[in-house]
Amino acid sequence: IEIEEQYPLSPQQILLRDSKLRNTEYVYGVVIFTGHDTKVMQNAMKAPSKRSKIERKMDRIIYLLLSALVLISVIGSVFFGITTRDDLQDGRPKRWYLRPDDSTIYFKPTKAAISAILHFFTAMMLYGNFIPISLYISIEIVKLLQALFINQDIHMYHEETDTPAHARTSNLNEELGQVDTILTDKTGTLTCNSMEFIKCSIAGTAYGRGITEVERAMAKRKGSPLIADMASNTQGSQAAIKGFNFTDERVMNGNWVSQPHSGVIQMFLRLLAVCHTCIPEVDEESGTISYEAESPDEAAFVVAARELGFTFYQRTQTGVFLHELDPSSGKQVDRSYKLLHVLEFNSARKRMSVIVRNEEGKIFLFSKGADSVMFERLSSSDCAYREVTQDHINEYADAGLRTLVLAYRQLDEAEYANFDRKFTAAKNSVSADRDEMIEEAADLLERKLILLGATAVEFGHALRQFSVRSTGVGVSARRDARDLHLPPPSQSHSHSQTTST
Amino acid sequence: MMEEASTSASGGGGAAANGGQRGFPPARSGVFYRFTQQNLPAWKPAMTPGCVITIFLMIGVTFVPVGLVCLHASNHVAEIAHRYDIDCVPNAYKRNRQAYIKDSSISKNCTQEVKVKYLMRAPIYVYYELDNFYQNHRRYVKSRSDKQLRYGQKYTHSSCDPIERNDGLPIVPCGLIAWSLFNDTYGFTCGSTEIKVNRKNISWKSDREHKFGKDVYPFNFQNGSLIGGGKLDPALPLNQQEDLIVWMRTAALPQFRKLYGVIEEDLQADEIITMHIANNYNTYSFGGKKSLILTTSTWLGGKNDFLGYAYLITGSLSLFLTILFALIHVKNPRPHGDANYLSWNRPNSNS
Repeated sequence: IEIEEQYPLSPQQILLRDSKLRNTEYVYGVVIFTGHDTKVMQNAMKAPSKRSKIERKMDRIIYLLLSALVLISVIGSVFFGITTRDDLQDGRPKRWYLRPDDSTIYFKPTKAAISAILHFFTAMMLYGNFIPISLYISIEIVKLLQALFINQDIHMYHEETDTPAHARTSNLNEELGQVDTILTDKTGTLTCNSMEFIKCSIAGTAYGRGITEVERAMAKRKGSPLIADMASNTQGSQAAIKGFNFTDERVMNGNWVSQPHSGVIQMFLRLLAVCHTCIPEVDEESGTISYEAESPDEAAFVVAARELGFTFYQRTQTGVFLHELDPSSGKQVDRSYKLLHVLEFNSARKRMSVIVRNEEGKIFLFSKGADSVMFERLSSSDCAYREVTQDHINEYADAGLRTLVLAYRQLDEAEYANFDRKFTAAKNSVSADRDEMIEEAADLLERKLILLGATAVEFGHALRQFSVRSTGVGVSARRDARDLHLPPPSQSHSHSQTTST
Repeated sequence: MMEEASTSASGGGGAAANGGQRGFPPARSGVFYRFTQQNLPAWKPAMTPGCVITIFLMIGVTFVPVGLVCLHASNHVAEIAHRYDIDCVPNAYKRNRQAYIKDSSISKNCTQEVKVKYLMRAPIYVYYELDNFYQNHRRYVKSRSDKQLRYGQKYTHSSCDPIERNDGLPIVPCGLIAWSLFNDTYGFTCGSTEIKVNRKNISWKSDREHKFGKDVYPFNFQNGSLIGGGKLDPALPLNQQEDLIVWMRTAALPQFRKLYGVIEEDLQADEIITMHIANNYNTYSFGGKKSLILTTSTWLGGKNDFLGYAYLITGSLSLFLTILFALIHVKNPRPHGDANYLSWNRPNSNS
């Protein structure tokens, strides 16, 4: 009996509006939810026309002048009608030099009312110069020149990305510079949508000699010159790599091979290179690889793995491909991993896992997540460096870094087959408790994990750019003790998007 | 409206796309750098109390003497204004002046006597003044043809309506303005001596040379059943009909004066001048007034006190404000801030 293959349908498979379709040959069109009641349709409305204060004030002035013009014309026409009618009395003209006895309709005394009405229109035309119509054109020209100045302002030019200011519309030029306070809630973090891999803890050993902004500020307050000197020395030694601010000679340049826990370090770096959803992009000219990631910390992890010898360079529907540094031979070896399942990150789970099969046929579960959920899923038999890692995580949090715990487990075929059947059935179901079934199936596997270590990522220096002295903008943020437990990457992701838009 | 369709930027992405990529960074020096960065130096005055007081003082000190000089010049003008349209009506027609003015059989000659109060040095200008005569009426102003006055009768235009043609023949000059030409005449004697009035060069030179043709002669003028004003000599070209030229420069207000002639001899004080007036023009139907003006002139023009009073009031007001500000500044001195804190004096901290 041939079993028909079924595919699960989840938000991962839906192309939302403004999505970019890449690395895909074809898609199916399916009607899921449509009509005028959908959120997209209800949000679709015409953008309101923006009018600045100057334009609104000018409109009021023009209306005032138009009223004055009509008033003057009406009064003038009334008096004109009265005097025109008086020009003929009993058939004898008074102002004889105007020849009221031989007149057109515009000045006829016997039809003074019609003459007055026609004089109203004449007066409106003659006094029309009262209305400054050209004022709109003059203001429009001024705003256009202002937009040109905005585009050329050197203080609004970003050197790093070579991006000048770009005034797309000149409607609201004079409304600039009105922000005086930025308010953030307690969990909001002002970031620049960039993360830097700076420290890590592997097998109970802390690596990374970088100094964070928080540590530098505290050292400056204490007046400790030693840390400042160390920071200045290390900063000038290497070229800057986006997302990578890690300095430790014990593991860099392949030196991790000679470390006492090199096997754990190898698995740690392999996990960083495999357990993600990034997509590599290879520059055809220079051959460098950049990564498209759902969140900037994922990109930072993959960059860190690359810098330490595990280069992720290709992804297909079913596989992940790396250049790995082989500790036995000391050379780069191509390795591929068959991607069996991806257990996605969400705010409830606070962890992400991938199940892969390596070239030798072994099945591994790689997992990373918040320490609050990962430590309770560790194997109880392996307690060698658990407490040390917890101490490292606390230190990283105090230094203002964002931490993730990395762990893995090897699966046997029977266990995996059982999970695969349950997980696939849960994914293919369309019942209301689908999410619960998926989580149940995933929970069966994410247990008895072997601890590898923890990572520490520093978010970009956003607060520095909101200097009160230079811009006059005050920043007000509520803080409490829970800020020390930084929010998971998902919230950071959403806030970063808010900041960037 | 400079508006572009803004595309919504796709969020996320670890490697930010380089928007607005250019081949070279923007220039940070050069000819137009300071202009594009709006850093060119400019004069930004600060109105300190001393500065303001000095300005008002200078205005007052300058304007008050100018006002006094203007008033003095205006007061030196000797002027005789005599209204004659009422006195020249015979007693029999006091109650029905229109019948008097329209009856051509009645003589319109009138003799009036005035006394010269002050010495009047030559040249003495003779003006006629009309009141309640609306030369600025729209129909009146439009009823003329400048091309015809310049080039001749073939340019007679419909804008001259209703004084355009008579019996099918064009009227030169056409229009209501020419048709209602002022036709009172004046003569002056002192005792038994006649005072000559020069009637030449009373119009603008540019009018005689550029606006009225020297080959255009009156034709079919005042030949209709209705005669409005004075007649013209058919043998003289239009550029020599100076009464017509003066009359056709229309006045902006209902009360106006127009030049009639110039007396080239002095009039002594306490002399009795006899004015021989031909009261031909009808101002009785619309309640107008007619006056005869003899006046001298100075560098400022005729008798007009307005300019002097304007200067005097402005200067006095400035002096008053000077004293007021000085007293306020002495009694309640207000410490103004350090000029170094002004934004253009501060070192640039927005970099």
